[in-house]
Amino acid sequence: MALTLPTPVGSNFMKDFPGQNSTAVDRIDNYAGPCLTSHPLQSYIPVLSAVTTPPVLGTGGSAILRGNFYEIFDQIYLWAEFRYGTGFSAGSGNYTMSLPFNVDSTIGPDIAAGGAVVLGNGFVWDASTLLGRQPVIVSLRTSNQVQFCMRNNSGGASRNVDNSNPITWAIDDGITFAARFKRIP
Amino acid sequence: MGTTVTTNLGLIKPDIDESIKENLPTFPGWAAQNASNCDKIDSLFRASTSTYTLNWTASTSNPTLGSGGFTEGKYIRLFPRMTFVFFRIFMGGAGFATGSGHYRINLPFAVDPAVAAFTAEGLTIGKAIFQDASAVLTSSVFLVDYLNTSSVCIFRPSAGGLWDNASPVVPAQNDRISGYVMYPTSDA
Repeated sequence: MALTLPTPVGSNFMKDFPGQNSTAVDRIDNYAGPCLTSHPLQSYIPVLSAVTTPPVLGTGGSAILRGNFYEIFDQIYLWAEFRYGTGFSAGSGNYTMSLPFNVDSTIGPDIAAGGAVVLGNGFVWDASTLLGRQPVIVSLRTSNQVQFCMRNNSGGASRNVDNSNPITWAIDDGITFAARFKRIP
Repeated sequence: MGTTVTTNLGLIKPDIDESIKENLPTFPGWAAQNASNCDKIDSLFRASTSTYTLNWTASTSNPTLGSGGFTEGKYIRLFPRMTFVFFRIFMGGAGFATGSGHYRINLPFAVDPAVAAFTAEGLTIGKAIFQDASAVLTSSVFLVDYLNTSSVCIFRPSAGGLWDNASPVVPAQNDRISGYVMYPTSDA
């Protein structure tokens, strides 16, 4: 049992129980207390990268790189996004974004779309074209990085979001995604 | 003699000599302490299902449910501000009207401002399946995205854009959509 709460034992219940109960409530408190009494929503700055050459986010009001995660014990619910700003560079290769923790997964990461555990969903934001706003699947590329896989029956040249797929990147374009996973402590 | 409380939750811890030193016939004892602890833990875990009024709307004019149509929204809150919502909509029969514009649904609680501050284009917080009663091929899977500009959720099809009364599938009599969202709220 996760909390190893003591089962009442002892020949003198009246004498033994208080101490055992005291131990039990301490263990409950230690395990659940910090999560239940603080607001478990935290922030982090993800690292936007690409397999060959990392993109450059750019600057200005439209440049955004941020993430939040909600922590329930070792379960992480996460939301993150980036948007390109002035002076951005799309880099080269499949896009990745970092997670705040290593992922505990029995399937594990993989660089191949369809080879790794799926952590969530997201979408590519094309600021200029409505139909460029396409959903993506968020999969684990390394122990603490995700990549973005997409629908390809419309003739795209890549299974993954990269420097030229599924859109030609421009200022205000980006990716927003959600993921959930069990972290490695 | 006496009790102490735990650091975070304030759970009552009996003093190990309490039972010996107290006058048991009048001492409310561990039963009362345990009841207090149980109530406190239960209120914090909040592992219960509740119902809210799910409103299915559209950006220009709202759809009208037909005969037998309904909307249903349920949610669970855990640990203690994470919200898991399950919803479904049945368009109903005669009298159904599509309305116009992109479709939206409401949430039982506001999204935490830190997360809601993500770009106005939406934040992916769930998924939904649309069943077209008359055509298999136009049944669709949508992302459910939260729009902080209007505090509602919209549906994002796989081909891009938003689900509206004309694309990628026109809702009609006896169609259905169901899905889930999960998000943090700042509401206590």
